[in-house]
Amino acid sequence: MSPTSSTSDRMTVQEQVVSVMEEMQILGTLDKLIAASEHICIATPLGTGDFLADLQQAFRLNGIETCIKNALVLSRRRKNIKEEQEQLNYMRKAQTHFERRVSKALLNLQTDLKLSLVRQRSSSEAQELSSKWDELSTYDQDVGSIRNLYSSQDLYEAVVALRDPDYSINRLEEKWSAVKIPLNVPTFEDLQEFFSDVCTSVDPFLGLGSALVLQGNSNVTLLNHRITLGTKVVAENDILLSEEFVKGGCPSHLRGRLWKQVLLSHVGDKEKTYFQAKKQAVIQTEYLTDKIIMKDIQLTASRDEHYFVYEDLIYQVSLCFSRDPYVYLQLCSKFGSRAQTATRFTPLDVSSNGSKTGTVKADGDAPGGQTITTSAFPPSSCIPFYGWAMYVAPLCYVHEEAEDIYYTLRAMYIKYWSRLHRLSSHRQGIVSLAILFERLLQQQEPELWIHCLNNNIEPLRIAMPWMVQAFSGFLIPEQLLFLWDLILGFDSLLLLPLLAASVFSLRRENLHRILSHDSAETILSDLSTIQVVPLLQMALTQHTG
Amino acid sequence: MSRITYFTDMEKSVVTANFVKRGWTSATSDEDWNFYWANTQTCRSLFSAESSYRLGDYQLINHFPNHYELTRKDLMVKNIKRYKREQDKERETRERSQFNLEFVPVTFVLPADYNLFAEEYRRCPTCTWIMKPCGRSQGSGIFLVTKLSRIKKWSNEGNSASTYGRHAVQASSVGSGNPQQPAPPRESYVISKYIESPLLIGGKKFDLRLYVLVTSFRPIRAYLFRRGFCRFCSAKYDRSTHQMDNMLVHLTNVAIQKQGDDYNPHHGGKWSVEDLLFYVASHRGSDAAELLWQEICWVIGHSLKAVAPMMLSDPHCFECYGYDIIIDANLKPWLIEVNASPSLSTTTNTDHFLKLSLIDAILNVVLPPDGVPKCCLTHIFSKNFLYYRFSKFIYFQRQMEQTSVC
Repeated sequence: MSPTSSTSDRMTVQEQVVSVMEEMQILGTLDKLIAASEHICIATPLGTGDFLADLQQAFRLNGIETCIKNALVLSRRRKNIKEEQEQLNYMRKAQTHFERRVSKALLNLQTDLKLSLVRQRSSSEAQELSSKWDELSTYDQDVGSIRNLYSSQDLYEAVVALRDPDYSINRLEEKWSAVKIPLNVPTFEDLQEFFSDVCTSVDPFLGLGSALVLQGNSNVTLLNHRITLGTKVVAENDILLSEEFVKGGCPSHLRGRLWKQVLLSHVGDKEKTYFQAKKQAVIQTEYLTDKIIMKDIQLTASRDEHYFVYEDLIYQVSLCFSRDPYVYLQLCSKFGSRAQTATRFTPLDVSSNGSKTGTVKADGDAPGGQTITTSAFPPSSCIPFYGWAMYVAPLCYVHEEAEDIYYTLRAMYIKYWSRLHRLSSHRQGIVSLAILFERLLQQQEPELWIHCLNNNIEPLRIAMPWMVQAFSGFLIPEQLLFLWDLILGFDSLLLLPLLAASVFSLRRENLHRILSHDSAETILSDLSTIQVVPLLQMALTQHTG
Repeated sequence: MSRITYFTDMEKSVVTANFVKRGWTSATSDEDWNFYWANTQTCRSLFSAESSYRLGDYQLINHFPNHYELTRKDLMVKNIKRYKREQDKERETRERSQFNLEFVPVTFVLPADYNLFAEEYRRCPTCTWIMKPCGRSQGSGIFLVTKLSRIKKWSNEGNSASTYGRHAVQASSVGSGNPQQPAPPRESYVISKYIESPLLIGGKKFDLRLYVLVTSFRPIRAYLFRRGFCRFCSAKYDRSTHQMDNMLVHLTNVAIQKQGDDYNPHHGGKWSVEDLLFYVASHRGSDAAELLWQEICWVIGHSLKAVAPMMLSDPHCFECYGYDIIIDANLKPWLIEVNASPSLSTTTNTDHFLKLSLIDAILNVVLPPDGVPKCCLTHIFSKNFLYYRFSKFIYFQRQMEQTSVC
């Protein structure tokens, strides 16, 4: 691979070396790499040929070259990430307003139920929780009166209520779409180009059917072919290669390792210790959000016929996640420092027995080893909403151990899911996805759109939960994981509105026959027969108009 | 043939809905029926020597006359043991087949085989055994045993009239405190080696319920319904002695689990076999999942082959068996028992839909293309018909033929 590919900045080799080393410092792999290189230098026999070539060969064989390659890719990506300050005033105000509503609901809940926001558990309670850690589903937390703070319907209402003060809508436009702000979203042609690999890749996608037989070699099924290829890709540990492979669909038992490579969520001893520290944090202190999380799991994952067997794992991972300040810091650097609901609660005067003494600090260790204290509530700053547990549930099919699930969830949440319940003008935020969904449906199914308008059917209201939960809980696990493979491989959430619109296209004949919103919901309530990859291929190869 | 009439011994909505869908009507008392969804006793009495009733060409019934050869626990074990002996003799000189015929846990009938059992027990004194009454269902009367003295106590209770009532109730009560009917004296029991390391998912034990439709035993024509399900215990699996009597940990029957505190009616502890295989493929590899499914099919196939010589393969009959299979931690399936009347009551929506489509698929296979119940042609239907009705069933008669050749 040539060290300078076609990106905008032309760095000298010197600068690249520096950036690679910085990146490795951040990843924590620099020391290991230096040690391994030294070892190889000593061990490589001094032949009579070109020493440099021999050394390069040795580096390649030992994976050092791939390490450096990965670091270069990551450092370049890191430089391209800019802090996303919300440029649009009205959007910023709307998000702040939404956050305020949520925190108000939380405080109301607190006062209604006379619980404290944070309190230390007594030693007997802590012991009980510790002993029941592996069967939290039976730990009685009296969550009967807990209300969920918000759901995707509330997000729908918020998105639909957005108005740009500089943009006046005429009466026709008012009725046409649910979302009435003029954000720039990709066109269908842009999507076709961006996702062209879905339709025209060399190997068929695994989501088309694992028993498919390859052209030219009828002895080998697609699944076996992907397994052979995948095993090699996993061994290489090259980020770009893994991403490219994941696009085509992962064989089930390689998925865990491939996702770890793409998301950089490897679990070593340090990660395991960190997870244990979070577990201790859960056992020692109780947050009001714990009860909300538990209630949400009871209502969603524990009732789901695909995921109920994993409910204990989901409890563990969700509770530990809420104590992780690393999430808060990452989200702050992503969305801007004052962006989190957490700040509403500073300075928050709570203490273990209700008297006002001072702010609560949640300690945490970043992987680099520094101690962070935040005053976010909860420490991860993620306030759970109805359906949050569904981000965790499908990961139980990918990994077996709680730590693996935890780190994959964390990486996916920071990278993708956090955008799905945040009002912003970002291209992949839920607002843009909603607009994209409506535009796609209008463009591909104009008759259906008119039919919906005439009968007061609101397609976005139905599609919103699908997009907010990234289809988790709606598709069957196998198909859902193919969809998440695509999201990871293409690094884009734009597939969500595309899939949502194509489901509507698929059921258009039935939809044409019904005359009310409730019947439309019924028709679209069961997505268990949807096959993601064929549907997306069909959607992307449609001609417009 | 103007109207097609049906008759049922019990009211099951999933069954009658499928009949009504086909335009059939319920047979009146003076009419003869075309299709009889019977329970096992009425079927036996219909075919018994005393009965003068002869079934006509246009009548079908949903049980074989001597299905108990497969569905009674002691007879099933006897038949399979005999089959194994026969197969082993055949293979003495040839190489063993790929499939190991040890798919039923070591079992003895009590009190008849007590001495054999005692000998086996002494070879492994730390093993746990499970006692099951031969003729009962829904997990009633089952208990676990670790000491020979427990057996002696049980046999004394069964025979002695004075201690009969109280101790027998204790012996057969369910962990959650629901007293069962006291065991009648001298009821025969089977005792099997308990599978102490079942495959645990989420820390809980489960078993598989698979539906197998058999339309004939000579030749064997069997169909496996694709949508089986796993029944989970609601309590975490615990091998310790103080949980030996807690049936919520050890028995997966829905009738028992329903009584537990942690029973969740939304999913009813039922997980689809599809999800199970996806789980195994994700964590153990797709080869392991494929192999597991193959082995399950072989277990079913061999069990049918074992009883085929004993069964009266009456052309008026077909039967849908409920196979209970447990998978151990090494991914080996064990046949626990076969039910002649698998439960058709439904606990959740998915369950309802599953059983509805099960009966629908059964009727599609059993009836000729014109939909009129007709018996004598069931075993010579054209290949087209069998393959046409294929969609929901796997057809593995060919595999049967292969095993008898090799």
